[in-house]
Amino acid sequence: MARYLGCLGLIKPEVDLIHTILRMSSRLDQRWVVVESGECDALLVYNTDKSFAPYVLKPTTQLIIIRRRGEKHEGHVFLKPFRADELIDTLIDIDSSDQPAFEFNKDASSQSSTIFYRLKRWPPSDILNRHKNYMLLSVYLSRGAKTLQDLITLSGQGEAMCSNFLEVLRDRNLLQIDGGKSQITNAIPISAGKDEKKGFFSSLRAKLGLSKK
Amino acid sequence: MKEYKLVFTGTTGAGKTTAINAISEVPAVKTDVVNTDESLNKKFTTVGLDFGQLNLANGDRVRLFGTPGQSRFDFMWKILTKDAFGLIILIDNSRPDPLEDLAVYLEGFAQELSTTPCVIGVGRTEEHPAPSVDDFSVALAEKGFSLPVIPVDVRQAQDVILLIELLMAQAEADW
Repeated sequence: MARYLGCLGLIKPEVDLIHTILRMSSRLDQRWVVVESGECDALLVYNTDKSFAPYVLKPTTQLIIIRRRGEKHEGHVFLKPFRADELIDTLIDIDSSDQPAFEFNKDASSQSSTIFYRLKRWPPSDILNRHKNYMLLSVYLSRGAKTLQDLITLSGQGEAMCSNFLEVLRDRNLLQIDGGKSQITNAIPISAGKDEKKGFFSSLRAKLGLSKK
Repeated sequence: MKEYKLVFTGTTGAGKTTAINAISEVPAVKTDVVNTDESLNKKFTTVGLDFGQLNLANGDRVRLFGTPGQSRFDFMWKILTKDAFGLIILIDNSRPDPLEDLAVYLEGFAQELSTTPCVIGVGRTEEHPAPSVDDFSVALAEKGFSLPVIPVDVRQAQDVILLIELLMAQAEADW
């Protein structure tokens, strides 16, 4: 099922870039296509104050606001200078929130409570691509076996992104995969004072300007 | 008010002092002396420890400690790391054998690594791309570790903050 992405107010080279990203991304698998008008599932836009014509927004249409890096933002954003992987992640997130039963993650969903994944080694840089979310997912998988649901809960990321990342790791033989019975997932003893540490991390994140989904 | 401890370690010149300065809210306290090691391209080097601090909104403090780089001071490593919530190992990729440098710290902190979250930042990778960050992760795997290892420029606060974020994620994954 095709998903439609509108581009409003973008100059032609930017629209061409979006076309290329959607066409070339193996993770999107050509599910998303750029449309010039009409209904769309997501709309890339600089300014939300103006009319969205010629696009027609559905109740489920997601706005992806274009901002410069460092500018404050909320919701879905695509930051300039553009990075393809960030747009791909956003579209996968939208896939996940709109259509959790998408074919590409259906198997993973049904097995999420029984399959445990653990990282064999820190992933190579061509997978991580200096992308913080991938690094964080890798950290969670490096600290004992985790289910897909564990990963979603820990990271706050969508199911599509998590299952997609697991697939990439599995394809590269970087995962130890165990199924069936419940596992002891912690490689490290659970530390005392968990609540205290949670509060501390929350304060430290705020201090460092970090947010956690 | 509670105090928490974060430790930066690594070889001389790896950027421990710089990393602390990048995020510390108080002027970092240094115990530097004139460097007499001609193989090191720096005027001063830390022989005691570096110290910086972050003050949290609730009054808690994060003490930032940098260990001395020279391995002859390794007795201080364990003292400083006791009860730390995280350990950051900084590697200088311009040195003759950065993989061996990493091995020294993995061995030196072997006991702490079983309980303390740890990340590895590799510096000067743009001018010195070999060994690659992937070479480090392979070397870590051969020793049974899957610790995060990322390229960093510790002059950039964002890079230091990313290291800390990965440490916190490790702790959360253990809960």
